[in-house]
Amino acid sequence: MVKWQFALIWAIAVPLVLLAISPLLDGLARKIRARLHSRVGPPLIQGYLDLVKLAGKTDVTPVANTLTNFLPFLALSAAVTAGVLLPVSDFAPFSFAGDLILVLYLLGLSTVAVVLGGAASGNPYSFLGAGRELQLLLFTEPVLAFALFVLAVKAGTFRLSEIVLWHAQNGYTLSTVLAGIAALSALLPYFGKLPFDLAEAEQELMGGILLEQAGWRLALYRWTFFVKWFVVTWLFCELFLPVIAPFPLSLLLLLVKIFVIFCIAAVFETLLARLRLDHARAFFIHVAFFVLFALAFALIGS
Amino acid sequence: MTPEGLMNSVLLGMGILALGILVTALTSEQRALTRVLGTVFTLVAGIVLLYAGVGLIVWGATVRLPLTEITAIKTKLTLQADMLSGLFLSLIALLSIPSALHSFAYLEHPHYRQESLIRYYPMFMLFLLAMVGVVVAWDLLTFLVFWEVMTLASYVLVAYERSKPENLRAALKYFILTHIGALCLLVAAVILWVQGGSFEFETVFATVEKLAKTRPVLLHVILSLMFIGFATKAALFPFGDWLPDAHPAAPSPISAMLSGVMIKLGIYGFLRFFVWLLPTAAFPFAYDWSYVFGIFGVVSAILGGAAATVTYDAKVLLAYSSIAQSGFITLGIGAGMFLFSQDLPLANIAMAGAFFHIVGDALVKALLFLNAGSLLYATGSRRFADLGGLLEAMPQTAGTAFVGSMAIAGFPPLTAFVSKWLILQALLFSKSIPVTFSGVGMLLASIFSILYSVKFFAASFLIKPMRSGNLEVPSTMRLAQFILTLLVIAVGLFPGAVLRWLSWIISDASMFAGAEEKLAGFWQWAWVQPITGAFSPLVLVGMFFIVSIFALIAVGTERQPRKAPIWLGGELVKPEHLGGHPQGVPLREELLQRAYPRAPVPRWRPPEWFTKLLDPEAWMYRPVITGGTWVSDLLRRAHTGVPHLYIAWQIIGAAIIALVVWLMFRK
Amino acid sequence: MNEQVLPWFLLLILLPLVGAFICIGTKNRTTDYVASLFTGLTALVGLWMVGRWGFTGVRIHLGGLPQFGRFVGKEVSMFGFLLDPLSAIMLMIVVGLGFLVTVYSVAYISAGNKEHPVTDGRERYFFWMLLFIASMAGLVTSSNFLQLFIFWELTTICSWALIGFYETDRALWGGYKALLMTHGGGLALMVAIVALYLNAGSFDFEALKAISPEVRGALFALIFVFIMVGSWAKAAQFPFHTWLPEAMEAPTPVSAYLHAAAMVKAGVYLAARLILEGGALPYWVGLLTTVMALLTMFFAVSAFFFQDDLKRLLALSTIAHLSYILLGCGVYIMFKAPEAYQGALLHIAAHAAGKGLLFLTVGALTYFAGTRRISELSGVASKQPLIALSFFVGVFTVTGVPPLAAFWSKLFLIIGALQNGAFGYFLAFAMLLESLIAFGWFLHVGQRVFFGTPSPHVEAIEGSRRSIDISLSVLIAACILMPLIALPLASAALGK
Repeated sequence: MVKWQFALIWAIAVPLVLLAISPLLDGLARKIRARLHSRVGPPLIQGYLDLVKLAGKTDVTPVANTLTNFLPFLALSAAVTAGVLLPVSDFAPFSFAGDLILVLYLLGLSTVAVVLGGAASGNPYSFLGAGRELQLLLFTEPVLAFALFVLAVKAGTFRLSEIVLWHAQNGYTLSTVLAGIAALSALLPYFGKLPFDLAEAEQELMGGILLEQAGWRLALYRWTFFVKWFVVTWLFCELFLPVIAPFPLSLLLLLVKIFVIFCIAAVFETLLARLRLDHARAFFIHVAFFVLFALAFALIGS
Repeated sequence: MTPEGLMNSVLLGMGILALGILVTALTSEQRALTRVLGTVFTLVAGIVLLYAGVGLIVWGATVRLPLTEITAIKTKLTLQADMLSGLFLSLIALLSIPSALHSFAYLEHPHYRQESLIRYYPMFMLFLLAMVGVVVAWDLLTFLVFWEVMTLASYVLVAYERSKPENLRAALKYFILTHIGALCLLVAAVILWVQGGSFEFETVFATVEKLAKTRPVLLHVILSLMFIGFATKAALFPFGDWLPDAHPAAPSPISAMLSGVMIKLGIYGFLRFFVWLLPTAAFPFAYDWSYVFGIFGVVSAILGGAAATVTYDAKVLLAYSSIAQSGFITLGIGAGMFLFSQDLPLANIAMAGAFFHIVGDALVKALLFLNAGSLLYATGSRRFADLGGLLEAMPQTAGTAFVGSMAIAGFPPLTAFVSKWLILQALLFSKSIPVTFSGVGMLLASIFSILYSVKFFAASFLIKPMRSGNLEVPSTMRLAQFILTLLVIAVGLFPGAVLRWLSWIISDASMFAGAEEKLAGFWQWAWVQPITGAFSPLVLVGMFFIVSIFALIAVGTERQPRKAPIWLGGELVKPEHLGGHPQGVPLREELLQRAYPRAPVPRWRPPEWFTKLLDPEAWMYRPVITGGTWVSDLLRRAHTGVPHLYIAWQIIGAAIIALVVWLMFRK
Repeated sequence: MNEQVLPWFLLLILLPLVGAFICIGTKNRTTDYVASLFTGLTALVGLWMVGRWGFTGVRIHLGGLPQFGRFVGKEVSMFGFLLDPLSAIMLMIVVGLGFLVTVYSVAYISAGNKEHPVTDGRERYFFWMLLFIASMAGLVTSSNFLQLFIFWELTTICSWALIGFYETDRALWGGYKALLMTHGGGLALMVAIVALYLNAGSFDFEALKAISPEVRGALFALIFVFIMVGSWAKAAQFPFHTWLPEAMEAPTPVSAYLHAAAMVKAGVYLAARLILEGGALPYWVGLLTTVMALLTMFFAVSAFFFQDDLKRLLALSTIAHLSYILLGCGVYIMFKAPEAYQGALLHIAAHAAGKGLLFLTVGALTYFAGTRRISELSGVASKQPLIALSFFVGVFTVTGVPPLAAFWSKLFLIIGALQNGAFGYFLAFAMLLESLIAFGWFLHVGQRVFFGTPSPHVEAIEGSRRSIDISLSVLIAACILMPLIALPLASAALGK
């Protein structure tokens, strides 16, 4: 009974926390970029302000039907549910309902829902953006998945809490370090931030798949992005930078880790220019080989 | 009803189909009547056969019916149905019902209205009859006869719209390639007869066991021939090259049956003759062949997926997708055979995943093909360049297509996720480098699945500005799609229940005996929890609800949306802006296209001397005749020419005779 | 018992004979009825005899010519009748197909034929046709070589007359060539018969076993090779196969009957009889037969791809299928595999049904459309669905798609071949390859001719003829049902 209660509380609490905290990341990123540009920049709570504003605006759209009403909710739910499944250190009350593969697929589902929502509008720019987003998915998913596979193969399980436990107890090995580096390079594209933001390339595509979204839809899609950033960083931090600690302390450590990693990502975003699709493809093919080597190392025992 | 009555049900189903063939052939002139009769007969037969199939699984029965005996080859023709037969019987029956419903209105499309129904309904029921025969045959001769009749009936169906030459080419290619496969099966069957003395399965099983010890090379030859035969039907790469041509040619309900069930009969062949046939005593063969299965599975999955991502035509995309899904299933079976000796629980998981994929993919593929048929019905075209923006014009079809696309992509909580997840677990934790890397390959192929399923849905229903008006298809077609959608959702939400039944079937194979007990702890109704992971689709759906409620509260209830034209920097969108991109959704072409080039049919001109060789008159008779004529002309002239020459001949001739006589009587 | 049988044999031969002579004196519709009636009665008699005595076998000796007996000093049996399972298979085809072809000819040899309208001379046609039926019936029921030879030569003459029926230059030349080549084979057969008589003292089939052991070597080789030459010439095997394509100048029912189902089958019947009655034949005999059969198959199949004429294509296919039968015989001699022989016999029947159907289909095409060039025909199915159905059933029968007839014969042939090591595998591979090539090519041709949009020749098709429809339908049924009757007969032939 205790387990069930924990799971229920977790199921309610984590979504609330995710929805509440993730807009902070947006403000953080924009503040860092502004500071590097020698500007003052928006306040840290800018993310919240944006969402509130958007929720109140009229929904101006060329297409409004059941599917396009449903997709933003699907996107957000998928991203948040992925977060619910993640462990904090080795504490994962929801692990009976999912594991590594499920998390990856849920994140993918979230992306696909956003793409479909954008494609529904009939705008040629969205059409191009959708294509690019899908191609980017083709390049980034495998790399992240393979990096996580390295960990799974070494730990012998897909259950996230057990992977964290194993990793914390056994320390770093060659393969896990390599995989970690690869996963780090897969983070930025997952965020959809520069240098991999070609799906929403503002200068080329006017925002691509988010072009025709407005009002509450845009609010939900933006929120999806925030949550996704948070969740993917959380995934990376817990799996590749594991620390075993009792619950409240581990939560704090998690937040610290996420903050650090995300700041690093934000710095990269500001410093680098956008990569073209073929550059991105070449980059990822190299990283893919890199991570396959890591997998090979994992299989032979190191 | 008792288990003994199950064979009667099967026979009853076959009888209804046979009667249906006759009736619809006779009434084929009146289209409306034939369509109704055809649908009714198929529905009734489908329900009866579904009862039989499910009964076989649930009761765990094996029922047998001996037919005649052909003494000249010492074979008793027999029918026998066990749980494996029951599974495929259920699939055949289950898919025939929506197919028939869909055909009812589909055949009234102008495309098909001038084609005679005598080549459709009778052939469709013959096709079903033959497929049922294949899964209940218990000797190789019956099996082969039904196998080829199945190919024959499906050939006629693929060539249904025969006024177009490309359809005929596709049908020809299909028949020839599958006929080659069937000939390979024939040779394998005869070799087994020669070694064992009979075609019956029991004798064949015993022969295989004997050959495994005494003549392993021959057994490998036999297994290779069987592999080729079944791989051709299961559309694995490269044997399945007929599929991307045959699907656009066939009417969509037939495509649904072809991809949904007939291809799975190739997999049935694999299961029956590789997994059920090779007893534990012949284990090393299973081990060797697991590599073959694995390689062909992975290659088919990746190449099929890659090719699907860059096609221009909706049905070709689904065809390549079928090749890829067959690859997944084969990979799962291979993993099961491989892990059988090392890690039995994981092997069982792999087989369970493969079986679940068979069921799930059958349902989803049929659904998507029916959707493609609806698209064709509504717009007259299958090409992505002509589709798009149909979401509001065909909302119900779009809804079912959405579920279908999400299911094929492998997103939870729908069906393909569970099967891919199970197979992936088995592959990755197998502690063998090549097998783990095939797991890597499988993930790559799964990502292609996501891409092409999104492409299918987006390019058909989204992407372009929404078309106005109502292009929705007739209610029977919608009903068919709806039935399949419900089944897909049900199987997706309750995978544990289905997996439990599938475990019973798997444990029927000698290789996996006892699987049922080992796997029993893994499947519950609401979630699945095999050794290395966990998943609960209902919980997932529950989470989706919770989050959506929070989100809804956060953004408030929507106000009325304000419709505005598409923003294009000040211009209005015109058709030329969209350009009708041939692929629907632009996905990288060059790299992927090189991965699956379509081989052109070679043209060959024979050399001159070869043509001459074929005509013995030129080099044999004519010279002889000319020579003979020349000699006789010579003689003629000798007799009727110059008198002096004539006298000279006479003197010489007399001298020769004198000489001969003297020599003869010289003593 | 023997006395009860004799009248039936006589009836079998006399009915068509009498009918032939009556036909000469009649005109038009009467000729049709007379011919159909007599062939129908013959068919009934023949089939009844097959059912009654075909499985058990019956043999009658009728004695010889007294003058000849006085000349050589002893009584030599020169005439007799025989009906055993092998004869029964042949008889079934001869009388059954004879009747169907006659009914078909009623419509075909008429003014309605677009390719070759015929207004006079029909009585001549039916005379020769009925005479031919009588000769074939006599040939397959002969109990000794002499009687067989007499009927053999009779069929040669009938063939000459029928091929040249249209009396064009090409037709006359085709008939003449056929006569020359088959008669040449017949002469070789005669030499063999004489040699046999000189050594064994009898013309009977069993005399083959009685050839004295010390001369069994060279003399036996002579006898065997010469008999096989006769058989090869009649059955259009390499190198005597060149007359068959040119014999396609004959009216199509003639081609169907003589050159697919009956006359050329006499050649393989002779070979089969040789095996059945010859006792233990040496290995080299089988090897020779097999090698010649393979050569023939190669030549026939290679020439498939250069044909524009449908009938020539079918002629080449016939040659290939006859080589199948001889291949089965050869394998049986070499390796003693009974399945090979059974397959060969079964194939005699199956091929007759399928090839007969195909030829009659092509005939129907030429009747209605006026041409038989592949390049000029397309889209026939939309106008004449029955003809399309018969063509495809014929193609599937002949190329061995189950559950149609030739699948079973090919199955037996392959079973026989695969029992025998590497050479057997090679033979099976050759057979399957030929099947596959023929299957693919015929399907392609069929699709080209029958599907698609109708060509001008096809657009002009109108009407239908009941006789043609009936004969085609019966043959379609035969293609499916033939194994049910022929398989027990083939098994019984070897005494199983």
